[in-house]
Amino acid sequence: MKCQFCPNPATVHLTEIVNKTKAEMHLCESCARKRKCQFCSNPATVHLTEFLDKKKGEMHLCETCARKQNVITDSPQALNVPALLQLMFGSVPPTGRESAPDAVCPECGTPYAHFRAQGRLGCPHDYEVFRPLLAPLIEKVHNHAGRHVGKVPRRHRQRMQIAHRVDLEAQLKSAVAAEQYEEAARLRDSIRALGADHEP
Amino acid sequence: MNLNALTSRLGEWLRGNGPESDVVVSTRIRLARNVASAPFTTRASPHQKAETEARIREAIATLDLPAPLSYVSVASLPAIDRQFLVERQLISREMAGVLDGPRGVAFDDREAISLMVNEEDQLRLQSMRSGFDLDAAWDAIDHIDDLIESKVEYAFSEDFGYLTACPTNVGTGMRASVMLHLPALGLAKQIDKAFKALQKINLVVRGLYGEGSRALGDFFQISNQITLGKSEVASLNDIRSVIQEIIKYERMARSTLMREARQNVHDKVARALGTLQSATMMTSEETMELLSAVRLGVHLKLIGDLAAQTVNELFIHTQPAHLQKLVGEPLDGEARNAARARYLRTRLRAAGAE
Repeated sequence: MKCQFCPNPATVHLTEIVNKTKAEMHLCESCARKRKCQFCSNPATVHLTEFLDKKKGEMHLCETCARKQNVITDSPQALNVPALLQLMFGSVPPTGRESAPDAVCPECGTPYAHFRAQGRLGCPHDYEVFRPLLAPLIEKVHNHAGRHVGKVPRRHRQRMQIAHRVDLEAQLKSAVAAEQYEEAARLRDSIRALGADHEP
Repeated sequence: MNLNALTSRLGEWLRGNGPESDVVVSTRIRLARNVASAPFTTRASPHQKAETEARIREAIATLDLPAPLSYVSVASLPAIDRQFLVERQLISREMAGVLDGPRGVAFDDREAISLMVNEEDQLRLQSMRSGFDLDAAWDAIDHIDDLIESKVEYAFSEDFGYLTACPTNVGTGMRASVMLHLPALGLAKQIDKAFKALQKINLVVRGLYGEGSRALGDFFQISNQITLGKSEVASLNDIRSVIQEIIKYERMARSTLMREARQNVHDKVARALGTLQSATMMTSEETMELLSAVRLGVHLKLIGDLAAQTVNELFIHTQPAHLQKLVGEPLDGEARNAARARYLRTRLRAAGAE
């Protein structure tokens, strides 16, 4: 007999009576595990899969245990990220490449472990210092978002414009030196266009 | 500033008017901002927090705004005043209870703007509107954000946007919340169905007082969850289209109720009003449930002589800190429930509602 959910052989056979209707289940061991809470024998209704540095973690919990473990809070959609990570990966630290999990921000002295425990970062620099560890998490929380889209502070915009202009001017210089006049004309137009956009 | 003077006024979010106010109580948008090159609040020393507070306070004080803001230092307030500001939604529960050290809030007379300093993020800018008005709320807060940014450099990165203490807010740092009153969907047991669609598009449902609070009296807050990779305008448009759908469902449910079960609804509303007018003990949870039914009755025109605004006033005045301020003494347990019931009886009899 095959498992009802996958092609593996069924080794677990269950009989459930729900609302006076008898239901039989034939499952392989892995699918059976998913049906029951890992902490008690209640049916699992909260299923979580997390990838951290190529390591896959799976959790199957009933709602009560998920609450007890602080994975879900009273607001229905909010997941407690640090509790979730703690529960799935326990004390086994993920093996980072550029940034080790025992990394400490040189600016504010916050260790990455502090973020893991509290869910709050120490200072704006942490985003760069812990980037390899944070990026997958941020991507997950924000539904596979890439980069920031939206409002940019005016100061930042102006700085970017200046950097862009400096960059174009350098390119123009080398184009002129290399006697690439068509390219130089194109670059000059671009610089002029920037000038027109320049905010007072 | 004397906070007691606020007791007799209704904040912007309880004004009871504004677009679609039969279903939407209020619209709120908050932006999370931090100062560049300073530790986030929870990792800052008391000294650093005091510095940040002074710096932001000075920037706020010199903003060119049509309505002046008053600054209240939350750290030096007694617990009841902090609770009072939470009930008016001028500060968060975290700011009142969990956080410590120098912190405060600036708000205007209308209570349409509140700028929290040294919350989880150093600046939490909020704008409130009664009814469903995302555009007005956004324009107001976007403008104030620009003004502050001209005086204070924000922590910002091209990839991650506005940098926040918790990565769940990074990017735009914007959370737009719309507070809905959905009693008819509640009565028809259709709430879950109406909300099912929300999860697919990353919107969150919360209770009245934000994260972790229970949904009481069929009041719900719906807000965006994702702040990275989607512009403010795109997020607002997503919320707008969903809320419009929910408003439509709620109105349909209301007219179905009036068509199919008018007598039952009328009875429920009348009993709620009757209990509020005659009970001698009243918890805040029960008050909320009963006022929810009364609010429905007002909008279905089943109750005469009672304005939606009065219902809102009762709602805020029966919250623990407001009630204690109105009575003029600290109350707890049974004494508070008795005072609440007495207040409701007096007010509703004076309003002559029937």
